[in-house]
Amino acid sequence: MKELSRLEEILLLAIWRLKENAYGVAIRKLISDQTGKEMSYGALYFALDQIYNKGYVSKTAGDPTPVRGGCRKIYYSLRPEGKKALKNTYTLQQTIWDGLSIVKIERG
Amino acid sequence: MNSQEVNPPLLAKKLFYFLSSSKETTAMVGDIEEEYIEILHKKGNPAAKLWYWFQLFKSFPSFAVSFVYWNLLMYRNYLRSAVRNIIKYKGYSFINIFGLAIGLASSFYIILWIQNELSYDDFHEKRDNIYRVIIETPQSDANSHSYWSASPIGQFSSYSGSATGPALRSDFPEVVSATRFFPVSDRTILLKYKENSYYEINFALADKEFFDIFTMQFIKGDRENALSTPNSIVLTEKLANKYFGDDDPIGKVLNIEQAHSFTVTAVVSDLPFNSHIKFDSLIPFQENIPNFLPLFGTPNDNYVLLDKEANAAEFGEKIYNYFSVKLPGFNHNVLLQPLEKIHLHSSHISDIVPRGNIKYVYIFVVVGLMILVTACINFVNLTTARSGIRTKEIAVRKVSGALKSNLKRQFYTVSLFYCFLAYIIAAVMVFIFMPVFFFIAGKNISMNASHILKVVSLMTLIAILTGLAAGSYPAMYLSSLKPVLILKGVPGTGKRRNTYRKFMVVSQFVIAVTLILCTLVIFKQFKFMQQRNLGFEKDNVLYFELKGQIPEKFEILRTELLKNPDIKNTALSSNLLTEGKYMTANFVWEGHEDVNDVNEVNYVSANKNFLDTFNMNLLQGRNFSEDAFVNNSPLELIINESAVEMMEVDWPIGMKAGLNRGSVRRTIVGVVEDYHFASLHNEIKPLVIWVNPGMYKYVFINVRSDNLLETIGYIETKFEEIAPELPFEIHFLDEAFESLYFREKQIYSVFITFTIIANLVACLGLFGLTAFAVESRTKEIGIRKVLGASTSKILRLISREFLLLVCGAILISLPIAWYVMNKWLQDFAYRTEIGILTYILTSSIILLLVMFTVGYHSVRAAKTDPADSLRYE
Repeated sequence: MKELSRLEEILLLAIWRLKENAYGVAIRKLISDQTGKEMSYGALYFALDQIYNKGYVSKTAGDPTPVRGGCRKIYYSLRPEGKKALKNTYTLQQTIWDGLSIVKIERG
Repeated sequence: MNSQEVNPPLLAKKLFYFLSSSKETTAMVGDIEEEYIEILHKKGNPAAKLWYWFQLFKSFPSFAVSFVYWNLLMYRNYLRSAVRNIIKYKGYSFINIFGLAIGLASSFYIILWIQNELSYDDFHEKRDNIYRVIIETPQSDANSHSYWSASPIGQFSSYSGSATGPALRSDFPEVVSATRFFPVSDRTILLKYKENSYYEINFALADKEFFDIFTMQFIKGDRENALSTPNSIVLTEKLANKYFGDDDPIGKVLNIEQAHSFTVTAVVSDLPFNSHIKFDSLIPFQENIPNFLPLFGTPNDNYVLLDKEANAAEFGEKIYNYFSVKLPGFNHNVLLQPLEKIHLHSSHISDIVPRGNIKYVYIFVVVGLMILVTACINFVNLTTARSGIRTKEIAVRKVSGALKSNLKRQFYTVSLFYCFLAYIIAAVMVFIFMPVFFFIAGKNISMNASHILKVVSLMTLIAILTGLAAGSYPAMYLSSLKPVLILKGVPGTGKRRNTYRKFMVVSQFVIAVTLILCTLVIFKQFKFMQQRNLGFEKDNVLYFELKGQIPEKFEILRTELLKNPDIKNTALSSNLLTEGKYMTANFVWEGHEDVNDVNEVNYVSANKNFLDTFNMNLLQGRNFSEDAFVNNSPLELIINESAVEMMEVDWPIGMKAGLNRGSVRRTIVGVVEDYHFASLHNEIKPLVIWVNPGMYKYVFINVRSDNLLETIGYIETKFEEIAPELPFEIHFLDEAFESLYFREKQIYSVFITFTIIANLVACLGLFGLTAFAVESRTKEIGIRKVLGASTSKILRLISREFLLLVCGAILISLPIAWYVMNKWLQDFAYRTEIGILTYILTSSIILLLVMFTVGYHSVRAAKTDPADSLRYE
């Protein structure tokens, strides 16, 4: 199992957090709020395609609405592989941070 | 707000669709529109539209990245499937790629050779304005010989006079510079420095302006001082090393022909391979030393460097007018030949030094194309045969959603990949066989960076085009097949393919058969020339050049030599019999002295032992007597049969005749049987022999064939006794003869090589096709065996189709080859004929090759246990 890149991690967590509302606009807004950086739609969908191809997420189609000019919404949700990947990342994070407290970093 | 203002910018929206490679572009556009509407409500129209466009631009980098990423992924998959393809069908793939590699490698060599020929003289900086003066001698002019006696009547010649160069320099404003150039080609020049003395070829004379016109690299010395004094000499690096080793040659004195001293003023680097001008040593043009090179006139070239604005065509006429005024009776047309045309387009010009020929370039282009076409046909054939196997796979893919464009792209990718592999292998082959190529081409073809670049780019282009061509058939045809039909198993889609493939096989073999036939005919002609009786004895005749004091002491030498029982006879003459570059003159005899009666003869000087030494037959009259040369005047003439024919008399003995109208009349004392004093390309022309010792250049010695080494040793000893200061160099006459046909031999080697290659490639192709055909009929063969068919019957069954094709190819190619070879043979006045045997031999060779190729598979198939073949499903 390959490690998740930072972006993949952020994306998967966002999708998890948003639950049934995990679609383009919401994901983008969430990431922008969290990281302070706004992802362009092109970049976002490229990344979404990647995690889809890797099997981390699955897609569901929603209904088209006039507000979207008649285009459908696509909702993303975590798949078992995605959950496993997140678990690994979390474990790795814990391992490398184990015993260290960020509060104490100035003191060396 | 109206709809116009509410809707997102249409152009931007379209661009999103166009540029995005995402799978969910629709959703993306929808998302963007959702946000857009939000912003529209919050911040109003212009802000929203701006935001929309801003999103588009922000996404550009991602679009680019994702485009590249997806394409790479796609092509990586194609390549993977291509590699799997190769591994799965190892045999076919190998034949396919290897065959194409051979074709590419051969084309590379041909392109290399052609590029070499076309690149002559391209290193001269002023090349666009350099011309050579060419003289045309009109047919009717009997007096024209008085100016340029070496130029044959009715022809073009580059011998344009020794007064021409200086005249052009001084009297014509549009001439920036002009030089004479005279390469000494009919003899060697003896150079000596201290103890080192050698006979040098490539000795030439030129004006000092030579270096203003032509670009040479000076290693020592410079342009201004190179030929500035009358006794300066310029050497190439090769010669400088030979005589001076590591010492500085500048200022040192070389001795020429034991008589003249010349000082080295400059050293230039060896002339590059692609220079039509060749010299190793160069001295200024000698006008005031009458016996410097005793010759009848100086046949030299003249080159001019014209002003950029000058018109070459008009200039030729200007020169003509100029000379008409200065030389009464001058009646030659003057033309200017551009520098770039000299090497390849001088075959109609009587030239001092033989040149290349554009005809050969064309021949090589044709041969090269044929090989390339053969290899490519193979490649396409085998590729399409194989893709035929995969129709089911393709049908399945189409059904499961593969786009037609994707399939097309896949085929092209696979095909190009194969081509790429073939290209790599071809490159390795080229590298390995380079020495063989140089050997066949007869010269070391070295190239500079720009030449190599041109050749390599052309090869790459060819490889790519081949790949595309091979891929196009499956791409076009297979990707448009209806999957339903294929999966149902509807037959009959193969018919058109089959015809196409048959046509290809036939074409390949037409090429192969034609080449075989041509090679056989060329070989036949060579044998004919080897074996033909030349009218004189050429085997076991040695010769060396007359130099220094040998002429005065010759009688002594002859007496000594004849004491050796292995030495039969000696003679002296002005020409190496085989040379073909004889002096010409206008023959006049009793009753034919009119101004307008022009009868051209070649003439040669020889002593009274000449006819005997060469075992020539005297048909009428007698040999030269002691009175042949009296008071410095030749009195007797011997003429050949062709001359007698020209004179239209039965018995010319005793008649008075002379060379050129103004000269003394001499007596014809004998008629010698025609002998070939030129190459077999030409009819035997009229020849006049006289005794004129001043013109002798060679000593000929007829020896017995046994004890050759000792005989030569004996000659050397005697030589050194009378001329100790001269180096001893002796040659066989038949070697000189070989060099007459050097060009043809070159062509022949090339032909035979490419014939072998073309046949190899064609057979490889056939091998592959047969294998494929047999495999697709495994079941059929198995069933037939079960039903009792014998091995030979099965053999016949399978090979029949191919044999028929090849027979058809033979029938088509025989007339083509006949036509081509006939034309080539016309070039020879004395030739063999093509002959039925040649046709039979050709057909047999081809049929044998084919039977072996096809038979291999057929026999194997016939011997397979039917149980195995029927089991396979």
